[in-house]
Amino acid sequence: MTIIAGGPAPAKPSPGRLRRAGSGPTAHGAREMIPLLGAVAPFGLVVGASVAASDVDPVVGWSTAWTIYGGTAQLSAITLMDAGAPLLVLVATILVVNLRLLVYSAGLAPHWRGAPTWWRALACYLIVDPSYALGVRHAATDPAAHRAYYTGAGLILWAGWLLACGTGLVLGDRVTELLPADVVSELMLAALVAPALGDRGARRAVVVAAVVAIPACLLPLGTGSLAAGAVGVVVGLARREGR
Amino acid sequence: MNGWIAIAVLGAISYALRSVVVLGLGDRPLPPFVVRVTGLLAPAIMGAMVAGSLATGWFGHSAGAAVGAGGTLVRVVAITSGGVVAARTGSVGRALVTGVTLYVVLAELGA
Repeated sequence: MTIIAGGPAPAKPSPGRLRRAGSGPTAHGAREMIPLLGAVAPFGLVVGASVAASDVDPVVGWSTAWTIYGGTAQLSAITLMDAGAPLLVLVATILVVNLRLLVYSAGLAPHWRGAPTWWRALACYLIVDPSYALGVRHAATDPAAHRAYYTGAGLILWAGWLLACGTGLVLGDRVTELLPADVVSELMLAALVAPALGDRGARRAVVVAAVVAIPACLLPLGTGSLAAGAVGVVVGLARREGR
Repeated sequence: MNGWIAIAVLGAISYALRSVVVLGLGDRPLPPFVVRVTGLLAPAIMGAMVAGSLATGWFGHSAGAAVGAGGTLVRVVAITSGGVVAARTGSVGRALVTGVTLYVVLAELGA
């Protein structure tokens, strides 16, 4: 609620002022998310186009956008479902690919202390790389303003993501004509990995995993990345502990 | 396997990962070993996925045609450039623009 300096504060602010005051941080969060949404939208188009190119039911494939809600995990799921992978492989892959969400959740949890349970339950659903990044960046603000900011940012991203995946599904092959789809998805992954390479243990884990992944790509049902990633983690942990 | 059942299970798992700390552990921090493993796992898996995708493109084991050594080299250059931009600027958008632009230019030059 806005307090007017240098004069008597109104006994009861007008509904219009309350609405403007309440929507300020929400709209701010939404506005700040728009550039990030622009960056991830091509990836959403690629995900939608992947559904169109697969034998997965289009509605099921598009629904990964609001159930799984994560581009890399969705692509992995669609690829594996198309290959007829058993549920256990799907579960293991999604667990590993989305494990970073656990870390994101741990990073945001302290800032949501005292928030209503229903809001935290909704906010958790919206955790993904861009919303985490903005949520942490604005964590020092007033708790109510932070919640409003995060809600605005998270909801605009969610809606935009669903729209991007749906558009990619409709456009289908035309997405790959407009965008080099394989390169876009690989670039997204590289852009997410690159900042972690400042850490020596992570750098070694990534390099080892990438090298192992080349022969491991011959493993069935997309398990090569899982196996290579596990080897990378073991080497990375050993490097950190000086063994 | 029913697709709806599969994505319902995967969706529940994804939500559980997002919510277990916030709703379950409250203010308690994650065990240090878990933090170390999760800190390495996502980059390692993603690095493996990029390398695996490049390898399948080169060898042609995926559903699409093989792009060969030349096509793979172009992708490696584009992805590496995008990764450098992401590391230096922290911007996914700039990384995408840099990488896609470089890929299109090099692919045209090589065509």
